[in-house]
Amino acid sequence: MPIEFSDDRAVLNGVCCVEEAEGLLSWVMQHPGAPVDAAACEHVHSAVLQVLMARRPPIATLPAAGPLQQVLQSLVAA
Amino acid sequence: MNPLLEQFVIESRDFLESIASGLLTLEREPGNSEAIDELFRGVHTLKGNSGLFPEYAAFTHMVHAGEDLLDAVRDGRRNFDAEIADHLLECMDIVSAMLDCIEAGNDLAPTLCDAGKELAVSLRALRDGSLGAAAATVDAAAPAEESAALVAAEDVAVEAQDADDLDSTAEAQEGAATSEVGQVDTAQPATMVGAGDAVSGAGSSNGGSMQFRYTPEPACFFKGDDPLFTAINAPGLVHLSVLPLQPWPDSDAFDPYECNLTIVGACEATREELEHHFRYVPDQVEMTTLAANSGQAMAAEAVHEPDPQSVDTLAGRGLSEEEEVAAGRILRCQYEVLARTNPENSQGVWRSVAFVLRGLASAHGIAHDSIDEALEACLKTDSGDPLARVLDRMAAGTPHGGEAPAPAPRSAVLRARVLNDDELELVDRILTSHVHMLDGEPVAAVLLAAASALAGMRRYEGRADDAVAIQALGAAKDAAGLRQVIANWHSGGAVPAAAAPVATAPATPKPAAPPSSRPAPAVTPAAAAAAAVQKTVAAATAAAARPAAARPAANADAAVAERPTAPAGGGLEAIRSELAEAAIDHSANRVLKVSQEKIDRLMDLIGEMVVAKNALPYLAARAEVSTNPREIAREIKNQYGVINRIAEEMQDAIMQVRMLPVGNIFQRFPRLVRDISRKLGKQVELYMEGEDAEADKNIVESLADPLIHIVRNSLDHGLEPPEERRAAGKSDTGIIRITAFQEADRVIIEIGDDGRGIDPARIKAKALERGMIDEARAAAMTDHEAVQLVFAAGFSTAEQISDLSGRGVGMDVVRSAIEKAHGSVQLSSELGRGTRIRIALPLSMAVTNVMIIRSAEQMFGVQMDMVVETVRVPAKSIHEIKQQRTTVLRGRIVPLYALNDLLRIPEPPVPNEEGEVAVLVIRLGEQDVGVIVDDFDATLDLILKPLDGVLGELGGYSGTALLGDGSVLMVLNLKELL
Repeated sequence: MPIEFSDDRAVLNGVCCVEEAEGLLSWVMQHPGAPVDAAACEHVHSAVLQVLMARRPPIATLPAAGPLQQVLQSLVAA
Repeated sequence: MNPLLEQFVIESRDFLESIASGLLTLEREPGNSEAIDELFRGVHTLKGNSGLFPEYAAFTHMVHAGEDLLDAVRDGRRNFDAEIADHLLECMDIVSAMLDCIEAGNDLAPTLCDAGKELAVSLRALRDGSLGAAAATVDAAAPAEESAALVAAEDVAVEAQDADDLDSTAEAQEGAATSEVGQVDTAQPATMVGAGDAVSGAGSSNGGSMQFRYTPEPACFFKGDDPLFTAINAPGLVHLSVLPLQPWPDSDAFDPYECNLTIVGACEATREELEHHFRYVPDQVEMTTLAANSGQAMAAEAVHEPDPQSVDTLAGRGLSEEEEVAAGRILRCQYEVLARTNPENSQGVWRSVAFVLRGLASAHGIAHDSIDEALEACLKTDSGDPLARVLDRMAAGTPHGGEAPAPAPRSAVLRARVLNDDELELVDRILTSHVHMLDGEPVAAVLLAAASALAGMRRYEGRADDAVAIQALGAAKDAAGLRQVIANWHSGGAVPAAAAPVATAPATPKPAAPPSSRPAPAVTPAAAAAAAVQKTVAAATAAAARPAAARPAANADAAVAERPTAPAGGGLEAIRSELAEAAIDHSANRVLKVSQEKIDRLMDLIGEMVVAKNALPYLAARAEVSTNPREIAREIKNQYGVINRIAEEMQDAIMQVRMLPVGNIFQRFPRLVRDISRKLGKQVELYMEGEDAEADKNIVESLADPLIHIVRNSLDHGLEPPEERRAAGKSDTGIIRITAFQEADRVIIEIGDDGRGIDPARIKAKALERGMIDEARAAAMTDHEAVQLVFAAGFSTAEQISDLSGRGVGMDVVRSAIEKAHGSVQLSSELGRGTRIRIALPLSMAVTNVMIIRSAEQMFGVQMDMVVETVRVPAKSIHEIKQQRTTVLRGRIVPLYALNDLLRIPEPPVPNEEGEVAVLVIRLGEQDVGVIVDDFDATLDLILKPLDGVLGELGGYSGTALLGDGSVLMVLNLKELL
């Protein structure tokens, strides 16, 4: 699974594809305030990004570098 | 070309044909649901087929838009009307041109792709709503540029948008008032993205800077799109912002699979690269050229002439308050961004800041060399100070640099607004500056710029009609008129009509006027802005003028007045009409479709031929042993009879295969008549009969151009406009009737109209004027003879050259084209009642019936269809009248010519024993002419080969043929000889 859900955090791994969006959304709804760890994330599908943008779970760690980091950084700053 | 593609091209052409006729049917009977279904299926299949070739995405994209529109029509969401038909026909024209490209093995021409893209936009707009909406979409550039006259050039808006994104990076959710600059309604704060290391890898500038705004359609995820992925991989990405399109809905309504994003990015890439990158979603991406688009900046500078001392500062450039506020905000954001750099992302941030500053600078006509230098310095020294210093200089003197005023969302709809005090003040300032601009004797470029600016302001006020008139004044170089406009601005006085509009306005207004022409005291931002928006204004006007051009141009003056204001529109129109023409002229080189039966018959005949051939070796064997040559000869003759029968049948079968119904060329007439009659504002009904009459493929195809020409003539000169028809007591609708039928071995095509006919007196006068005939001849001419003069070379009665006729290609070309196909053409006309043209053509010209004649001991051929009779004339009945030998045949005088003289053979004709000469009487036009030869020989069916190569230059011969004994027969073209 590209996203590992646990009670206290969700870990994004590798490429998070479109199917993950739904799971992430329901997890975010059930665990308000729980952080998302994107350290090992290489790419998030636009749908997943939408979930992060709309529901604003705190992002614990950012991916290493690249445009994705920049995209997600705004969510951290927010 | 690979077979698949070949098949695609052939099939697509067929679809185009059926789509075009379907559209015309539908236009006549809009409720015909069968026709709609048929049409939709055609377009749908065309689109589906094209999808096989991803390299022609532009093709698919445009046709898809057409399909969507038809889908809406089919579902009853849209009513089918002429507007839709126009657009779809245009779409098919472009498709046809694209097919030409594909067939030629080329990529789609960029102009075609652009035209396709533009058309796709209007098609979608047509589907989504009223024509007004369509116009608004096409006019999309207008609001931006209208406000540009007040705020600044569009670039500022774009840059400010970017700056706002950065702003939010810097200052969290501070509420990026993007709408303030009127660019987008992102009511929600940008979620954002700054610039980053991404840039460092992005490489240096390789052409230009582009900004794109990618708004994926909501259902894009279901099509497998990942917009973020696409955007991240854009070439030379420097900067990327992801924004929600609408505010995020609350938890229940939120659907992660409905795309609600808009992605704004900036790239160091050329437009082509970016277009290629987004080639699958061209309608969802808007692109703007940024800093490197110095076209506008240069235009601004040309009028502005920046003072080298103050190059870097915005102060003292006479910015409006609004501009200052926007610029100040942008600059302030840049400070904050600079302050937030850390060693990891500093390079990207600097590039990004420099990028924004460059855009700001170019929008205000400031040179951005110092910014580039500062950026390089930053990268070298690894410190942001150089950029900070540039920022200081730019911000110096902008009083509003520090405060962010409440954003005032700008409505996208700019219709008939009441200006507030600030705006009024601004308007006055612009007007004042224009009074200065127009002082003295300004050159055309300045006038155009002023007119564009004023027109932009009028449009901003929602008075588009005035705007058009003002543009016309500019085009007419009417400085006084413009001054009057300014004087009457607030009283709303009528715009004076453009005096003597110049039909040949410069194709593109030159933005850079020569130095001497620059009005020195009038260095105003308005002038700069005016020049900067010049191009966009022109484009917008073109867009506005387009529907007008599509409308029948009933009022020629109005059309002339509009045209100069829309140079771009003129070009576009030209391309359009070229395309339409190409669509009509098309279909010369096509595949021949043959019914299975005809091929089967050929197959049977080949079988018989093989059997007949196999009989010959037996015959040879018999001849070897036989002692009776007479019997063998008889058997050979028998066998010849068999083979001859088969050969004749085969010839006939092949002719059948080559036979095409003349309806093939008639197909294009409904479209031709529709387009031209709409253009001319005439009502025309076209009747066609006898489309089934068949003739040889070559004949039918050679008919195409002459027929089009004749129909055009009828439409342009023959049929009168409705008022004139009514005055003449005819019905409003003119009639063109095209009839084809077979008469003996000829196919006859008649084209008649019930228009004004040809005035013989006028023709005579014209011919006299041109010196084609003399007074005596003119007086002696009957009306019928006078009318025939239209066939004379170089004869044109059209008083003025229209784009339809009068191009110097006259009826003489029609006649020669038809005569080349061994046909004849007759014209009869009755003044006030109409004109009728009758074309007679042979059914086939592959096999020619030739009569062999002898003269000076040589054999020559003469085409049988010219020969009237052969007679023997006693030498004593030949009389010489004025050096011309003549004889009387059945009471008529026939002039005689000796073939030897015609061919410059220095030998007298040889009479037979009774002292009679052989005279071949041939028909030349209306007259019989006798040709004296030595003797007549047999007639033969021959396959005539035209002379080519060096011999092709020779006149007097229509071709050669091989005789049974292997000798070559030269076939004379007596028409040319006489």
